[in-house]
Amino acid sequence: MSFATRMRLAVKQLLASCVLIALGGLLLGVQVDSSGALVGTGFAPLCIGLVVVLAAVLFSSWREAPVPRDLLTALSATSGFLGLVFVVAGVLAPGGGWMFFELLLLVVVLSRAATRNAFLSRGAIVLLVCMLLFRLWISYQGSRHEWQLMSLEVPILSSLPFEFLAPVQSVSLGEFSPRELGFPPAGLSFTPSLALWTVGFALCIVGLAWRARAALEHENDRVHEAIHELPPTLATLVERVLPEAQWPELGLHGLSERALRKRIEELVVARIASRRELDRALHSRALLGSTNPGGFAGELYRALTDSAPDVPSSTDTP
Amino acid sequence: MASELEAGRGWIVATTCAVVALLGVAVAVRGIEGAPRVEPFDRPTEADAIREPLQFLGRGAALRIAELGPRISAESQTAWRAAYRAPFDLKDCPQTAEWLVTPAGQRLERLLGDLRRGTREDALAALALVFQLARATEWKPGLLAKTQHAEKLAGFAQDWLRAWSERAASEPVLAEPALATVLAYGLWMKRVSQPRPIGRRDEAYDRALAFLQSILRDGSGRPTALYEALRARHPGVVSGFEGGRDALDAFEAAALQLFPELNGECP
Repeated sequence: MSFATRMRLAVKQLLASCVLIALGGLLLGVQVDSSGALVGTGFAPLCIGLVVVLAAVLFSSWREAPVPRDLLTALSATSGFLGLVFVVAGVLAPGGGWMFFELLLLVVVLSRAATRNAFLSRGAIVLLVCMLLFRLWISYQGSRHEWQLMSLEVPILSSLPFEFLAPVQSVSLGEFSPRELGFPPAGLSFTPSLALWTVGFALCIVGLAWRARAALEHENDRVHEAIHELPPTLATLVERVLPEAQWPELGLHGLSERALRKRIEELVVARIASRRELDRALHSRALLGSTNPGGFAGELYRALTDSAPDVPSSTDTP
Repeated sequence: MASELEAGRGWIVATTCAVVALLGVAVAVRGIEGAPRVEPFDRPTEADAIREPLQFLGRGAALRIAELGPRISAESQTAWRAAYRAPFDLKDCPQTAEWLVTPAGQRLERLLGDLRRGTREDALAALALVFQLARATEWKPGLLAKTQHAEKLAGFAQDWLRAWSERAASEPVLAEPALATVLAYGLWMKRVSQPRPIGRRDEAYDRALAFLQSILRDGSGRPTALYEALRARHPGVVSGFEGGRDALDAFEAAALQLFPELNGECP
């Protein structure tokens, strides 16, 4: 496969992942009411999601974040950010005291994941799935007109057959209202809404993960393209000095064309200089001193090595 | 290579535009406002639809019952003409179950069955006759706890609701009569389950509750359209039904508020 074909494949993957994210966001933004009409889930959850993701980005932004350079990278960055906002807005239970706990947890987990250059770590995905299940559960309860998380029966009291005890025979946990949940005025039709939200969530998560991989591949292709502007032998040497696996850590991703070439130049010069330094040290006589056993034999050994002329290194060039 | 990438730039720009548009739509759809729920009895009806159908169940039903005659389906016309006046012409307040075993009572019972299986106008006519029967006969259990009369009326209501509750909840003509029938069923079953001021027949109470659950909740426990309509029209009844105490109390109170003359004794 030619390089250009490979690069176009990475671009296609990047675009396809952005389409998935946008479609997922679309499905997460609607719900079905009892008359079968599509109703929006409201801007409030979206704004809360925006704040959470922004906070996570800011808390983790001590690293230098790459800046989009062209249309494609700008679209990729926007889709990645909005995709995360859609997912967070889609899983948040929009109301009740538990929402603040959810917000805190999400900011901590997403910030930690972002500092490792991957918003969607395995832990973050597990947390998001758990939150989605929680939201689906309270929506299900709401669709049955049961406005609490669950009702627990009080032991002993609940077994007594006296109606006057009914108010204390069970305890309601986590009460909420349809307004808090952003239900449509005509009531929520749970099954189609469940289908929309779960498919939307899955599309967003798959899109985000795919986008991360495609973006990495796209950046690697750019670095590869810059290196292969050199004569083939020299390009191969540079790729051996700067292995592809180290490119993200070496800060080669997200740079402008000019900055990328300057950075490769700096890194190659620095690495070759350190390699030479190492070689020189390895071939120096001073290194032999470390093998001196000391004592009578050592004194003789030192006298012999100190008086001997330096052996020229095979790597030293005149 | 660069030229190959340049050649693909067109579709990259096109797809980018599509994604941007899609992202915009994904944000914009969140603002779609939901229309408020319109209950079936608040929906506009057809020009020739029956107006104020609840009047056919009230004390003035005798004044309008003839209106239903031309609307009764052809199969039930003969039986209708032969029996529909019987509950309106009743005198001396016979006991419900006793009158129903007379030739006129049996004719009415057969007519009720035919009407229940007919059109929505037939169904409304069936309810009009059941409510009139409840007004013109005695079904109060009394000190001897004779519950068979109220049980008979509750049975008519139950049969009708079993056949029509789901359809009626979305029919502007039948929605209100259906709600009134649910309330009346609760009233009659209250008399059956608690014929005296103290004590309760749990079997009848549980039977009534199970039937009400079956028409107000679907198989997975979610509210039916009838439940939603009942909640909109009689929120107190739904609260009482969900409250866990004597659920039939709320039905009884609402039924007596709507039909004060339905006390088991002829007015």
